[in-house]
Amino acid sequence: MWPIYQANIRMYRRNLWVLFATAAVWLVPMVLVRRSEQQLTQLLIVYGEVVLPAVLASMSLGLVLNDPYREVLVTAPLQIRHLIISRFVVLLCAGALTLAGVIGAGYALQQYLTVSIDQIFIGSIITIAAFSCLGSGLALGLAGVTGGGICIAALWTCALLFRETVLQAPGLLLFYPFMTLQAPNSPLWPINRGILIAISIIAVFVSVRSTENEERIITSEANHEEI
Amino acid sequence: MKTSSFKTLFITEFRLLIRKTSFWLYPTLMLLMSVLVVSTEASSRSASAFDVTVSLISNLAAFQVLPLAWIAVSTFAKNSEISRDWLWTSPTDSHFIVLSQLSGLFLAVTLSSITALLAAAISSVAYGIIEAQQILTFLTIPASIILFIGCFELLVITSISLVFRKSVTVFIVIALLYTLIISGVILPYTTLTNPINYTLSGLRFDSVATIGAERPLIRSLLWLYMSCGITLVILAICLVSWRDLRHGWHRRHTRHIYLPLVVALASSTAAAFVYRGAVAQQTVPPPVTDQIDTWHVLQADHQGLIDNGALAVDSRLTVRNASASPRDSIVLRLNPGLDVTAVLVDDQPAQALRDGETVRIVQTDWRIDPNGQAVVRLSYRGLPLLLREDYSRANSRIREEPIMFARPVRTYIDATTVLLQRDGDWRAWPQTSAPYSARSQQIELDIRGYRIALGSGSRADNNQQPTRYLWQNSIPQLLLVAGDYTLHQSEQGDVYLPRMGSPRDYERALSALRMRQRLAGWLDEAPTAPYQAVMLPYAQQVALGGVLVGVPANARVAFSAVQDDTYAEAQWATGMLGVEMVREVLQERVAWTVQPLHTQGQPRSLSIACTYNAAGEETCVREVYGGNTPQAPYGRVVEPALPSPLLHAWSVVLGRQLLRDELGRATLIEEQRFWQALASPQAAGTNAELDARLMLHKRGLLPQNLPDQVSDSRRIAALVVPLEQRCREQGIPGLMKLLHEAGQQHPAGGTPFTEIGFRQLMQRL
Repeated sequence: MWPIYQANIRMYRRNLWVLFATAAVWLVPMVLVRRSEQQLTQLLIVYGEVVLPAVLASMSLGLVLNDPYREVLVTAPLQIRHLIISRFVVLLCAGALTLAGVIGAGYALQQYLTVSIDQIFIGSIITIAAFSCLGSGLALGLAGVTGGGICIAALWTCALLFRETVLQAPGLLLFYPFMTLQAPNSPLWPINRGILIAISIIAVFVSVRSTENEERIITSEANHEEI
Repeated sequence: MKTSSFKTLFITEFRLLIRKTSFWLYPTLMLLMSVLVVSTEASSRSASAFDVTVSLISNLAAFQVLPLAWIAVSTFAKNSEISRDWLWTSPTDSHFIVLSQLSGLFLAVTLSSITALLAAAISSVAYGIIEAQQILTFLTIPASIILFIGCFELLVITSISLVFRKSVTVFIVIALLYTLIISGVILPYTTLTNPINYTLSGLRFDSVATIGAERPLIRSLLWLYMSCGITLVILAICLVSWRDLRHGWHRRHTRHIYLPLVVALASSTAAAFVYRGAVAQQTVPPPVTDQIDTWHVLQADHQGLIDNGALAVDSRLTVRNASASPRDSIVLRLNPGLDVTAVLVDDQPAQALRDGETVRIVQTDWRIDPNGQAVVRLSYRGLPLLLREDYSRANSRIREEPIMFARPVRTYIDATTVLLQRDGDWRAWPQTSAPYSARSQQIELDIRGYRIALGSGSRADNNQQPTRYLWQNSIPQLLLVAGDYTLHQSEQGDVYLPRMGSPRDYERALSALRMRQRLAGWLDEAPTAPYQAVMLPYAQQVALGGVLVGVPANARVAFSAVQDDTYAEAQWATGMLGVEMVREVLQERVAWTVQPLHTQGQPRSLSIACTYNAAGEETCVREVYGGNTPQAPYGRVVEPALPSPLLHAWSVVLGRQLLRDELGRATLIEEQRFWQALASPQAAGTNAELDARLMLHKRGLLPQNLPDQVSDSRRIAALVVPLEQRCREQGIPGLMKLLHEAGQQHPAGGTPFTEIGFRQLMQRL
């Protein structure tokens, strides 16, 4: 299995640079607000729970569909679900590493954060996983990167625009992906994270099932760009 | 040949786009979003068509960015693929190829936006916000703004796509920028100087004046957006052309693009200047504080003409220096949009220098000693400005609302709408904390060119044009309103409503008429004619004048200081109406102690966030923020949030009695308990006091945005409790007897009725 991961890391290396670039860009406002623990904490949470999920979701849209050799994929002896999961793992690890780096930098700038580092890290990772898995699931389910991209972009935008409205509806709050940002002290936070994990698992399942219809994957509209 | 290639490519791109299943997700999502926005607005039931319009514009403009990014990126990123090599074999230059693709995209996006707005219009009809025949009128404003903004967003996304070319990279760049703006990391304040944020929130349309005061800003802003967007795209096309030499495209073709680039840059620069000019007009100038409560007006005569949006006034004021020091100038408050054309002091020519929101009248070798008098004649004309500080709010993305320096809106004139009140800055008057009243005064106003004009003065035109209103001697209240109203006749009286107002306007107008009639009965007033209710443009408070009852046109926006929409809005809005109506009437009957004008400003918003625990119990937390306000960066001379605690206490008690049948005994008893908790020294600092204060805020019974909420609310409660007790013991006649006595001892314009005087009166009677 390790060669598969090596291959995936090699394939994603350009995207990983983009990931690191976002972290570098984000460090700039962090340095500017380092004296305010509230603002710095807010920036860390926004990066982990809002920016990184969008970035990784856009990368995971093309998990299979952006692979120019997907005809080979579907005929290879390796089961495609292993491939999908390995690519997810690589992306999530890259996201986790980047997030850890940014949080570490934040901690170095300001030791006192208004939300615990554990909660920021775990909350962000779960949201990243949810959006990434949903992105891939939508793209494969709709057999198109653009279609999946539009749906995930719409979900992400709605969650960001209506974050104040969601607070007033406890039912919606359970599914809200940016809960660490909006209500980190809510007693519903663990349940919310659990629901997001469940959504991620279901999305991975959908991704895998969608690849069983090879005709849709091979002939789908997709970018022929390097992943 | 180039034109036919352009047309072919444009149509081809459009057809390729609409053949993709993924593209159809975009208009579907836009349609769902617009319906969701309308249903959310409709759930508050006080939203007017223009509230829905603003919400649609801000939500659709913000929502469509990222989905649009995917559509645009998938179009332009593919240009470098093998499957698109046919593009480069065409005789058309690369910039025409990109332009034709962009045009195809723009057409598809425009059709999607129009579909979404049509769905919003149909939903609005279904929810009763507008009528079916108003669909076209309803669509005009949001369609024109959304299309411009959508075009701008598309142009920016196209520029980024052309530069970066990789779908994922482009999406990441756009998502990053979007997050930085939405979360308030960059451009934290939604103000006029940050035009990006201006469209996302802060637009304010009025149901009577429609676009109204926003018109000059909107025009220049949309021009700025389009110019900048086109400039960015042309720059990106230049870059693409330079990078794509491998496709056989030669550099000499760049000359064709330089001219459009120069024109676009010039247009952007001009638009930026025009927009900056519009913003500068809307920024409150530095305050003038050296002559506040300095002059008493002994005699005032004003003659004015309002003609199709322009105002011309000739004023004659006899003023007395009421300060302890001599003065070598006279500062008069006058709207910044009005220019003084002639000025005389004691029949000698003088100079009028514009100084912020005032004019400073100076004369060579002239001074006036304490108690000395002068006669000032001024002529001024122009279009009064309504500053955004007064009718909108500066929002922050980072939960820190700036201090506000808003004044009540008492002056508004445009081509279709007029609002003039006695204490407005449409007429020259010294800066004073007291009402604009003089021992002897006359105001004559002619109005022409408006569909419906209503004034509280006597008609003096023999039913000819222009309509002339006259107010003479003591002028308790002055109200002149004009606009495109529809007349509704009811048992309570005539009601003038805007064509596309809130569904609740009519109910509130009828409530206002009932309250006015009841109050007139208590005070033994005999109006000369039946009362008429009219919805006021931009005003946030009730205004009375003769038989006219002016009601703020939209409760939710009018009382925009309160942000929490979970209030029982009907009850709150009507409650506020009652309190304000009593206050307006009592102000003219008794002289109240008035807090002076000040420059500290007050917290812009009272934010009450309520959350519910698992058992459904509500916990509310009130937060007040402060800081500099971007639209009044130098501060401003403003009226106090609580001019008179005693007047407010009277207004609350009588205001609730006006609504006692509607509210019910249980509600009134509950409120009495709250006031008692607030007034009780034993409850000070406890949860009971906090809950009482929050609940009274929720019902509109405590003034909004008090600088010292705790002590001011306790002070009011200490006055409300004995008044309520008197009402329980002796009923309304008991309160009227007190009021009558207070009016006798402290008539309007005389010595003020203080809290000590009030307690003495309570003991005596």
